[in-house]
Amino acid sequence: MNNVSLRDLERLSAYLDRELSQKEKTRLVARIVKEPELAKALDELRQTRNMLRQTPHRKAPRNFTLTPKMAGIRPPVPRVVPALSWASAVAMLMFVCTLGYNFLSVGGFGAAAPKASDLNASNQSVAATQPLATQPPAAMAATEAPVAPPGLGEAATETPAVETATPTLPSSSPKPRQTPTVSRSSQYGILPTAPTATQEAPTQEIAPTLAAGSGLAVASETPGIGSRSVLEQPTVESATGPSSLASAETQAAAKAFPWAYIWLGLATVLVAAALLIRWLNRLAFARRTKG
Amino acid sequence: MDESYLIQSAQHGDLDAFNTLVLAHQDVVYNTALRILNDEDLAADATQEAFLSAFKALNSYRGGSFRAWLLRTVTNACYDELRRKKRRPTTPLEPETDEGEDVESPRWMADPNASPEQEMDQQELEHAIQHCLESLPTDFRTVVVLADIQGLDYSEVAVAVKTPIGTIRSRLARARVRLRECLQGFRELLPVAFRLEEESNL
Repeated sequence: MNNVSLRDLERLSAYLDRELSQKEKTRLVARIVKEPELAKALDELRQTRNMLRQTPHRKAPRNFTLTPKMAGIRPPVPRVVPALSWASAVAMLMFVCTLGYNFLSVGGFGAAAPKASDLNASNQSVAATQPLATQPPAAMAATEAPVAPPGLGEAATETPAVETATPTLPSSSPKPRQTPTVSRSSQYGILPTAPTATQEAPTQEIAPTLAAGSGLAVASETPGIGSRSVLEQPTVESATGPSSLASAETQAAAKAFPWAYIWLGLATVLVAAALLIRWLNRLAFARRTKG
Repeated sequence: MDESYLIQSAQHGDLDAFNTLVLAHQDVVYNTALRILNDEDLAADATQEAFLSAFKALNSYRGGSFRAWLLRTVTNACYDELRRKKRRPTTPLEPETDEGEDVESPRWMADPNASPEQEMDQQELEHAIQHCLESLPTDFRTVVVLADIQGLDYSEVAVAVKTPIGTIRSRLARARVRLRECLQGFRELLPVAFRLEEESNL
Protein backbone atom coordinates (compact mmCIF):
# COMPACT_ATOMS: atom_id res chain seq x y z
CA MET A 1 0.00 0.00 0.00
CA ASN A 2 3.03 2.18 0.45
CA ASN A 3 3.68 2.49 -3.29
CA VAL A 4 0.16 3.62 -4.05
CA SER A 5 -0.51 7.33 -4.10
CA LEU A 6 -2.99 8.85 -1.73
CA ARG A 7 -5.18 9.88 -4.66
CA ASP A 8 -5.34 6.28 -5.86
CA LEU A 9 -6.10 5.06 -2.34
CA GLU A 10 -9.01 7.47 -2.20
CA ARG A 11 -10.29 6.16 -5.51
CA LEU A 12 -9.89 2.55 -4.37
CA SER A 13 -11.69 3.29 -1.12
CA ALA A 14 -14.53 5.01 -2.96
CA TYR A 15 -14.64 2.14 -5.44
CA LEU A 16 -15.17 -0.26 -2.55
CA ASP A 17 -18.08 1.83 -1.37
CA ARG A 18 -19.53 2.20 -4.88
CA GLU A 19 -19.11 5.92 -4.68
CA LEU A 20 -17.22 6.42 -7.95
CA SER A 21 -18.80 7.74 -11.09
CA GLN A 22 -19.10 5.33 -13.99
CA LYS A 23 -16.27 7.04 -15.86
CA GLU A 24 -13.90 6.90 -12.88
CA LYS A 25 -14.85 3.34 -12.14
CA THR A 26 -14.09 2.16 -15.70
CA ARG A 27 -10.74 3.89 -15.67
CA LEU A 28 -9.80 2.50 -12.23
CA VAL A 29 -10.80 -1.08 -13.05
CA ALA A 30 -8.62 -0.93 -16.12
CA ARG A 31 -5.69 0.20 -14.00
CA ILE A 32 -6.31 -2.44 -11.30
CA VAL A 33 -6.04 -5.15 -13.95
CA LYS A 34 -2.76 -3.73 -15.16
CA GLU A 35 -1.20 -2.71 -11.82
CA PRO A 36 -0.94 -5.50 -9.19
CA GLU A 37 -0.06 -2.98 -6.44
CA LEU A 38 -3.42 -1.32 -6.88
CA ALA A 39 -5.13 -4.71 -6.69
CA LYS A 40 -3.24 -5.54 -3.48
CA ALA A 41 -4.09 -2.21 -1.92
CA LEU A 42 -7.73 -2.77 -2.85
CA ASP A 43 -7.68 -6.15 -1.08
CA GLU A 44 -6.18 -4.69 2.04
CA LEU A 45 -8.71 -1.90 2.15
CA ARG A 46 -11.53 -4.40 1.70
CA GLN A 47 -10.25 -6.57 4.55
CA THR A 48 -9.96 -3.60 6.83
CA ARG A 49 -13.47 -2.49 6.00
CA ASN A 50 -14.85 -5.99 6.51
CA MET A 51 -13.18 -6.22 9.88
CA LEU A 52 -14.59 -2.87 10.94
CA ARG A 53 -18.04 -4.02 9.88
CA GLN A 54 -17.65 -6.96 12.26
CA THR A 55 -17.26 -4.65 15.22
CA PRO A 56 -19.68 -5.93 17.84
CA HIS A 57 -22.76 -3.78 18.32
CA ARG A 58 -23.65 -3.10 21.87
CA LYS A 59 -27.15 -2.73 23.10
CA ALA A 60 -27.93 0.59 24.70
CA PRO A 61 -27.38 0.20 28.46
CA ARG A 62 -30.74 1.82 29.11
CA ASN A 63 -33.56 3.57 27.34
CA PHE A 64 -32.80 7.16 26.44
CA THR A 65 -36.41 8.26 26.15
CA LEU A 66 -37.13 11.75 27.35
CA THR A 67 -39.43 12.66 30.20
CA PRO A 68 -41.60 15.76 29.90
CA LYS A 69 -39.42 17.40 32.53
CA MET A 70 -36.25 16.71 30.54
CA ALA A 71 -37.88 17.97 27.37
CA GLY A 72 -39.01 21.10 29.18
CA ILE A 73 -42.64 20.44 28.44
CA ARG A 74 -45.04 22.15 30.82
CA PRO A 75 -47.85 20.16 32.38
CA PRO A 76 -51.07 20.22 30.37
CA VAL A 77 -53.30 23.08 31.38
CA PRO A 78 -56.90 22.26 32.33
CA ARG A 79 -59.63 24.20 30.55
CA VAL A 80 -60.61 26.26 33.56
CA VAL A 81 -57.10 27.54 34.07
CA PRO A 82 -57.02 29.98 31.16
CA ALA A 83 -60.05 31.71 32.59
CA LEU A 84 -58.45 31.92 35.99
CA SER A 85 -54.91 32.56 34.86
CA TRP A 86 -55.58 36.27 35.36
CA ALA A 87 -57.13 35.67 38.76
CA SER A 88 -54.08 36.71 40.71
CA ALA A 89 -53.69 39.85 38.62
CA VAL A 90 -57.35 40.75 39.05
CA ALA A 91 -57.11 40.03 42.76
CA MET A 92 -54.11 42.29 43.09
CA LEU A 93 -55.86 45.01 41.10
CA MET A 94 -58.88 44.78 43.34
CA PHE A 95 -56.70 44.92 46.41
CA VAL A 96 -54.91 47.99 45.12
CA CYS A 97 -58.24 49.59 44.21
CA THR A 98 -59.54 48.93 47.70
CA LEU A 99 -56.50 50.46 49.29
CA GLY A 100 -56.57 53.35 46.85
CA TYR A 101 -60.24 53.98 47.54
CA ASN A 102 -59.61 54.09 51.25
CA PHE A 103 -56.57 56.27 50.83
CA LEU A 104 -58.23 58.76 48.52
CA SER A 105 -61.44 59.01 50.48
CA VAL A 106 -59.65 59.51 53.77
CA GLY A 107 -56.46 61.23 52.79
CA GLY A 108 -54.13 58.89 54.64
CA PHE A 109 -53.78 55.41 55.98
CA GLY A 110 -53.52 56.58 59.56
CA ALA A 111 -57.02 57.97 59.44
CA ALA A 112 -58.45 55.24 57.29
CA ALA A 113 -59.83 53.06 60.03
CA PRO A 114 -62.55 54.50 62.17
CA LYS A 115 -62.74 52.83 65.50
CA ALA A 116 -65.57 52.47 67.87
CA SER A 117 -63.37 53.82 70.63
CA ASP A 118 -62.85 56.96 68.61
CA LEU A 119 -66.56 57.35 68.12
CA ASN A 120 -67.17 56.93 71.81
CA ALA A 121 -64.40 59.32 72.64
CA SER A 122 -65.82 61.94 70.33
CA ASN A 123 -69.27 61.51 71.76
CA GLN A 124 -67.86 61.90 75.22
CA SER A 125 -65.96 64.99 74.24
CA VAL A 126 -69.06 66.38 72.64
CA ALA A 127 -70.90 65.82 75.84
CA ALA A 128 -68.12 67.49 77.75
CA THR A 129 -68.18 70.55 75.54
CA GLN A 130 -71.92 70.70 75.35
CA PRO A 131 -72.10 74.08 77.07
CA LEU A 132 -70.06 75.60 74.29
CA ALA A 133 -72.74 74.75 71.79
CA THR A 134 -74.31 78.04 72.45
CA GLN A 135 -72.26 79.52 69.63
CA PRO A 136 -73.00 77.37 66.56
CA PRO A 137 -72.53 80.18 63.99
CA ALA A 138 -68.84 80.40 64.89
CA ALA A 139 -67.92 77.48 62.66
CA MET A 140 -69.78 78.91 59.73
CA ALA A 141 -68.11 82.24 60.27
CA ALA A 142 -64.72 80.56 60.20
CA THR A 143 -65.36 78.75 56.94
CA GLU A 144 -66.62 81.86 55.31
CA ALA A 145 -63.70 83.93 56.43
CA PRO A 146 -61.66 83.90 53.13
CA VAL A 147 -64.56 84.97 50.95
CA ALA A 148 -66.11 87.24 53.45
CA PRO A 149 -65.40 90.96 53.52
CA PRO A 150 -62.79 92.15 56.01
CA GLY A 151 -65.42 92.94 58.47
CA LEU A 152 -66.60 89.38 58.65
CA GLY A 153 -63.05 88.09 58.73
CA GLU A 154 -62.47 90.10 61.82
CA ALA A 155 -65.45 88.46 63.35
CA ALA A 156 -64.05 85.06 62.48
CA THR A 157 -60.72 85.72 64.07
CA GLU A 158 -62.31 87.09 67.09
CA THR A 159 -64.54 84.12 67.59
CA PRO A 160 -61.80 81.85 68.98
CA ALA A 161 -60.80 84.52 71.39
CA VAL A 162 -64.21 84.38 72.84
CA GLU A 163 -64.00 80.62 73.09
CA THR A 164 -60.66 80.60 74.82
CA ALA A 165 -62.08 82.98 77.32
CA THR A 166 -64.77 80.53 78.31
CA PRO A 167 -64.00 78.97 81.66
CA THR A 168 -65.72 75.71 80.77
CA LEU A 169 -62.52 74.38 79.19
CA PRO A 170 -60.22 73.28 81.96
CA SER A 171 -56.63 74.16 81.21
CA SER A 172 -55.38 71.39 83.47
CA SER A 173 -56.91 68.68 81.28
CA PRO A 174 -55.56 69.02 77.74
CA LYS A 175 -56.40 65.44 76.80
CA PRO A 176 -60.11 65.96 76.36
CA ARG A 177 -59.37 68.88 74.07
CA GLN A 178 -56.87 66.98 71.94
CA THR A 179 -58.81 63.79 71.69
CA PRO A 180 -61.79 65.31 69.91
CA THR A 181 -59.47 67.01 67.45
CA VAL A 182 -57.88 63.73 66.34
CA SER A 183 -61.03 61.71 66.52
CA ARG A 184 -62.94 64.30 64.56
CA SER A 185 -60.59 64.05 61.61
CA SER A 186 -60.68 60.27 61.70
CA GLN A 187 -64.43 60.29 61.89
CA TYR A 188 -64.78 62.67 59.01
CA GLY A 189 -62.25 60.74 57.03
CA ILE A 190 -64.61 57.89 56.26
CA LEU A 191 -67.68 59.98 55.79
CA PRO A 192 -69.05 60.96 52.42
CA THR A 193 -69.09 64.49 53.79
CA ALA A 194 -65.38 64.27 54.43
CA PRO A 195 -64.31 66.70 51.69
CA THR A 196 -66.27 69.50 53.25
CA ALA A 197 -64.94 68.60 56.65
CA THR A 198 -61.35 68.40 55.50
CA GLN A 199 -61.67 71.64 53.66
CA GLU A 200 -62.66 73.35 56.81
CA ALA A 201 -59.40 72.93 58.63
CA PRO A 202 -57.16 74.60 56.04
CA THR A 203 -59.69 77.35 55.62
CA GLN A 204 -59.58 78.01 59.27
CA GLU A 205 -55.82 78.02 59.31
CA ILE A 206 -55.66 80.45 56.42
CA ALA A 207 -58.31 82.65 57.91
CA PRO A 208 -56.05 84.45 60.41
CA THR A 209 -53.44 84.98 57.70
CA LEU A 210 -55.96 86.52 55.37
CA ALA A 211 -57.30 88.55 58.16
CA ALA A 212 -53.78 89.76 58.89
CA GLY A 213 -53.32 90.56 55.23
CA SER A 214 -56.44 92.63 55.32
CA GLY A 215 -54.75 94.86 57.84
CA LEU A 216 -56.72 93.91 60.92
CA ALA A 217 -54.78 94.84 63.97
CA VAL A 218 -56.39 92.28 66.22
CA ALA A 219 -55.43 89.32 64.11
CA SER A 220 -51.90 90.48 63.38
CA GLU A 221 -51.12 91.26 66.95
CA THR A 222 -52.39 87.93 68.27
CA PRO A 223 -51.21 85.18 65.96
CA GLY A 224 -51.17 82.78 68.83
CA ILE A 225 -54.79 83.27 69.39
CA GLY A 226 -55.48 82.50 65.76
CA SER A 227 -53.62 79.21 65.92
CA ARG A 228 -55.28 78.28 69.10
CA SER A 229 -58.62 79.06 67.65
CA VAL A 230 -58.03 76.48 64.94
CA LEU A 231 -57.23 73.85 67.52
CA GLU A 232 -60.20 74.64 69.56
CA GLN A 233 -62.61 75.05 66.71
CA PRO A 234 -63.50 71.33 66.59
CA THR A 235 -65.08 71.40 69.96
CA VAL A 236 -67.41 74.04 68.75
CA GLU A 237 -68.08 72.28 65.47
CA SER A 238 -68.66 68.93 67.06
CA ALA A 239 -71.03 70.57 69.35
CA THR A 240 -73.19 71.81 66.50
CA GLY A 241 -75.06 68.52 66.30
CA PRO A 242 -73.67 65.44 67.99
CA SER A 243 -76.66 63.25 67.48
CA SER A 244 -77.03 63.98 63.77
CA LEU A 245 -73.29 63.58 63.21
CA ALA A 246 -73.21 60.19 64.90
CA SER A 247 -76.09 58.97 62.80
CA ALA A 248 -74.38 60.18 59.64
CA GLU A 249 -71.21 58.38 60.65
CA THR A 250 -72.96 55.11 61.23
CA GLN A 251 -74.78 55.41 57.93
CA ALA A 252 -71.59 56.16 56.09
CA ALA A 253 -69.80 53.31 57.81
CA ALA A 254 -72.63 51.00 56.87
CA LYS A 255 -72.20 52.08 53.25
CA ALA A 256 -68.37 51.90 53.14
CA PHE A 257 -67.62 48.70 55.00
CA PRO A 258 -69.50 46.19 52.84
CA TRP A 259 -67.71 47.36 49.72
CA ALA A 260 -64.30 46.93 51.24
CA TYR A 261 -65.20 43.51 52.55
CA ILE A 262 -66.68 42.45 49.25
CA TRP A 263 -63.63 43.55 47.29
CA LEU A 264 -61.20 41.91 49.66
CA GLY A 265 -63.33 38.78 49.84
CA LEU A 266 -63.44 38.49 46.07
CA ALA A 267 -59.68 38.97 45.86
CA THR A 268 -59.11 36.26 48.45
CA VAL A 269 -61.46 33.86 46.68
CA LEU A 270 -59.73 34.43 43.35
CA VAL A 271 -56.26 33.88 44.76
CA ALA A 272 -57.42 30.77 46.56
CA ALA A 273 -59.06 29.43 43.40
CA ALA A 274 -55.93 30.06 41.35
CA LEU A 275 -53.73 28.32 43.91
CA LEU A 276 -56.11 25.39 44.22
CA ILE A 277 -56.28 24.84 40.49
CA ARG A 278 -52.52 25.08 40.11
CA TRP A 279 -52.07 22.53 42.86
CA LEU A 280 -54.65 20.18 41.33
CA ASN A 281 -52.96 20.62 37.99
CA ARG A 282 -49.57 19.64 39.38
CA LEU A 283 -51.10 16.67 41.15
CA ALA A 284 -52.72 15.44 37.95
CA PHE A 285 -49.50 15.96 36.03
CA ALA A 286 -47.48 14.03 38.62
CA ARG A 287 -49.91 11.14 38.41
CA ARG A 288 -49.76 11.15 34.65
CA THR A 289 -45.98 11.16 34.50
CA LYS A 290 -45.77 8.39 37.06
CA GLY A 291 -48.17 6.28 35.08
CA MET B 1 -45.25 3.02 12.51
CA ASP B 2 -44.16 5.27 9.67
CA GLU B 3 -41.02 7.20 10.62
CA SER B 4 -41.99 10.36 8.75
CA TYR B 5 -45.35 10.41 10.56
CA LEU B 6 -43.59 10.03 13.90
CA ILE B 7 -41.17 12.81 13.03
CA GLN B 8 -44.04 15.08 12.05
CA SER B 9 -45.88 14.35 15.28
CA ALA B 10 -42.72 14.92 17.30
CA GLN B 11 -42.22 18.23 15.53
CA HIS B 12 -45.63 19.25 16.81
CA GLY B 13 -44.51 18.48 20.36
CA ASP B 14 -45.65 14.87 20.66
CA LEU B 15 -43.11 13.46 23.08
CA ASP B 16 -44.45 9.93 22.80
CA ALA B 17 -43.82 9.96 19.06
CA PHE B 18 -40.31 11.23 19.63
CA ASN B 19 -39.66 8.56 22.26
CA THR B 20 -40.72 5.94 19.72
CA LEU B 21 -38.02 7.32 17.43
CA VAL B 22 -35.57 7.26 20.33
CA LEU B 23 -36.22 3.59 20.96
CA ALA B 24 -35.75 2.83 17.28
CA HIS B 25 -32.41 4.66 17.00
CA GLN B 26 -30.87 4.55 20.45
CA ASP B 27 -28.63 1.54 19.74
CA VAL B 28 -27.10 3.17 16.66
CA VAL B 29 -26.64 6.47 18.45
CA TYR B 30 -25.15 4.86 21.54
CA ASN B 31 -22.76 2.67 19.55
CA THR B 32 -21.58 5.66 17.55
CA ALA B 33 -20.91 7.58 20.72
CA LEU B 34 -19.19 4.57 22.27
CA ARG B 35 -16.81 4.12 19.33
CA ILE B 36 -15.96 7.79 19.17
CA LEU B 37 -15.52 8.28 22.90
CA ASN B 38 -14.40 4.78 23.94
CA ASP B 39 -16.11 5.24 27.29
CA GLU B 40 -19.45 3.73 28.21
CA ASP B 41 -20.53 6.37 30.69
CA LEU B 42 -19.51 9.25 28.49
CA ALA B 43 -21.21 7.56 25.56
CA ALA B 44 -24.43 7.22 27.55
CA ASP B 45 -24.23 10.87 28.55
CA ALA B 46 -23.58 11.95 24.98
CA THR B 47 -26.47 9.81 23.74
CA GLN B 48 -28.88 11.34 26.21
CA GLU B 49 -27.61 14.80 25.39
CA ALA B 50 -27.96 14.08 21.69
CA PHE B 51 -31.60 13.01 21.99
CA LEU B 52 -32.37 16.03 24.10
CA SER B 53 -30.74 18.35 21.57
CA ALA B 54 -32.51 16.52 18.77
CA PHE B 55 -35.90 17.05 20.37
CA LYS B 56 -35.24 20.72 20.90
CA ALA B 57 -33.93 21.21 17.38
CA LEU B 58 -36.42 18.93 15.70
CA ASN B 59 -37.97 21.74 13.70
CA SER B 60 -34.62 22.28 11.97
CA TYR B 61 -34.94 18.82 10.41
CA ARG B 62 -35.93 19.38 6.79
CA GLY B 63 -36.23 15.87 5.48
CA GLY B 64 -33.61 13.44 4.23
CA SER B 65 -32.05 10.70 6.30
CA PHE B 66 -33.31 11.09 9.85
CA ARG B 67 -30.64 8.69 11.05
CA ALA B 68 -27.92 10.90 9.58
CA TRP B 69 -29.49 14.00 11.13
CA LEU B 70 -29.68 12.22 14.48
CA LEU B 71 -26.07 11.07 14.19
CA ARG B 72 -25.02 14.66 13.62
CA THR B 73 -26.38 15.59 17.04
CA VAL B 74 -24.56 12.71 18.69
CA THR B 75 -21.36 13.57 16.84
CA ASN B 76 -21.59 17.12 18.14
CA ALA B 77 -22.28 15.83 21.63
CA CYS B 78 -19.22 13.57 21.37
CA TYR B 79 -17.03 16.47 20.25
CA ASP B 80 -18.26 18.44 23.25
CA GLU B 81 -17.41 15.52 25.53
CA LEU B 82 -13.94 15.18 24.00
CA ARG B 83 -13.28 18.89 24.45
CA ARG B 84 -14.41 18.61 28.06
CA LYS B 85 -12.23 15.55 28.53
CA LYS B 86 -9.23 17.43 27.20
CA ARG B 87 -9.82 20.26 29.63
CA ARG B 88 -10.35 17.94 32.60
CA PRO B 89 -8.63 14.61 32.03
CA THR B 90 -9.92 11.84 34.28
CA THR B 91 -8.83 8.33 35.15
CA PRO B 92 -11.44 5.72 34.24
CA LEU B 93 -12.57 3.40 36.99
CA GLU B 94 -11.58 0.10 35.39
CA PRO B 95 -11.92 -3.06 37.45
CA GLU B 96 -8.63 -4.26 38.84
CA THR B 97 -7.17 -7.66 39.66
CA ASP B 98 -5.87 -8.54 43.10
CA GLU B 99 -2.44 -7.39 41.97
CA GLY B 100 -3.85 -3.97 41.04
CA GLU B 101 -3.77 -4.49 37.27
CA ASP B 102 -6.62 -3.34 35.06
CA VAL B 103 -8.92 -6.01 33.71
CA GLU B 104 -9.07 -5.36 29.98
CA SER B 105 -12.24 -7.30 29.28
CA PRO B 106 -14.57 -6.79 32.18
CA ARG B 107 -17.22 -9.39 32.74
CA TRP B 108 -20.09 -6.88 32.36
CA MET B 109 -19.09 -6.27 28.77
CA ALA B 110 -19.82 -9.87 27.86
CA ASP B 111 -22.71 -10.83 25.60
CA PRO B 112 -24.68 -13.46 27.58
CA ASN B 113 -25.93 -15.14 24.37
CA ALA B 114 -22.50 -15.87 22.88
CA SER B 115 -20.48 -18.99 23.49
CA PRO B 116 -17.23 -18.58 25.44
CA GLU B 117 -15.14 -18.87 22.25
CA GLN B 118 -17.29 -16.38 20.35
CA GLU B 119 -17.28 -14.12 23.31
CA MET B 120 -13.51 -14.21 23.47
CA ASP B 121 -13.19 -13.57 19.74
CA GLN B 122 -15.58 -10.68 19.88
CA GLN B 123 -13.81 -9.16 22.82
CA GLU B 124 -10.41 -9.46 21.20
CA LEU B 125 -11.68 -7.95 17.97
CA GLU B 126 -13.49 -5.15 19.74
CA HIS B 127 -10.46 -4.37 21.83
CA ALA B 128 -8.19 -4.26 18.79
CA ILE B 129 -10.53 -2.06 16.77
CA GLN B 130 -11.21 0.27 19.65
CA HIS B 131 -7.52 0.61 20.32
CA CYS B 132 -6.83 1.47 16.68
CA LEU B 133 -9.77 3.86 16.49
CA GLU B 134 -8.41 5.62 19.52
CA SER B 135 -5.17 6.31 17.68
CA LEU B 136 -6.97 8.15 14.88
CA PRO B 137 -7.63 11.88 14.84
CA THR B 138 -11.19 12.63 15.92
CA ASP B 139 -12.36 13.69 12.43
CA PHE B 140 -11.03 10.51 10.85
CA ARG B 141 -12.41 8.36 13.63
CA THR B 142 -15.87 9.85 13.31
CA VAL B 143 -15.97 9.27 9.56
CA VAL B 144 -14.81 5.67 9.77
CA VAL B 145 -17.22 4.90 12.61
CA LEU B 146 -20.14 6.33 10.65
CA ALA B 147 -19.22 4.75 7.32
CA ASP B 148 -17.72 1.38 8.23
CA ILE B 149 -19.19 0.57 11.63
CA GLN B 150 -22.65 2.14 11.26
CA GLY B 151 -22.86 1.56 7.51
CA LEU B 152 -23.83 5.06 6.38
CA ASP B 153 -23.21 6.03 2.77
CA TYR B 154 -21.09 9.04 1.88
CA SER B 155 -23.98 11.45 1.58
CA GLU B 156 -25.28 10.46 5.01
CA VAL B 157 -21.83 10.81 6.54
CA ALA B 158 -21.53 14.23 4.92
CA VAL B 159 -24.81 15.25 6.55
CA ALA B 160 -23.79 13.77 9.90
CA VAL B 161 -20.47 15.59 10.09
CA LYS B 162 -21.56 18.58 7.98
CA THR B 163 -18.63 18.18 5.63
CA PRO B 164 -18.44 17.95 1.81
CA ILE B 165 -18.48 14.48 0.29
CA GLY B 166 -15.01 14.98 -1.22
CA THR B 167 -13.57 15.50 2.24
CA ILE B 168 -15.42 12.46 3.54
CA ARG B 169 -13.93 10.35 0.76
CA SER B 170 -10.43 11.53 1.53
CA ARG B 171 -10.75 11.11 5.30
CA LEU B 172 -12.24 7.66 4.99
CA ALA B 173 -9.45 6.42 2.73
CA ARG B 174 -6.75 7.76 5.05
CA ALA B 175 -8.50 6.35 8.09
CA ARG B 176 -8.72 2.92 6.49
CA VAL B 177 -5.05 2.97 5.59
CA ARG B 178 -4.08 3.90 9.14
CA LEU B 179 -6.40 1.30 10.62
CA ARG B 180 -4.95 -1.32 8.35
CA GLU B 181 -1.47 -0.57 9.64
CA CYS B 182 -2.64 -0.53 13.24
CA LEU B 183 -4.61 -3.75 12.99
CA GLN B 184 -1.62 -5.51 11.48
CA GLY B 185 -0.05 -5.20 14.93
CA PHE B 186 -2.87 -7.35 16.32
CA ARG B 187 -2.42 -10.02 13.64
CA GLU B 188 -1.44 -12.77 16.07
CA LEU B 189 -3.94 -11.75 18.70
CA LEU B 190 -6.93 -11.58 16.43
CA PRO B 191 -9.04 -14.67 15.85
CA VAL B 192 -8.44 -16.47 12.59
CA ALA B 193 -11.72 -15.31 11.13
CA PHE B 194 -10.69 -11.71 11.46
CA ARG B 195 -7.03 -11.85 10.54
CA LEU B 196 -5.88 -9.54 7.81
CA GLU B 197 -4.94 -12.14 5.27
CA GLU B 198 -4.98 -12.15 1.57
CA GLU B 199 -8.42 -12.51 0.09
CA SER B 200 -8.99 -13.28 -3.50
CA ASN B 201 -12.62 -12.37 -3.86
CA LEU B 202 -13.20 -8.89 -5.24
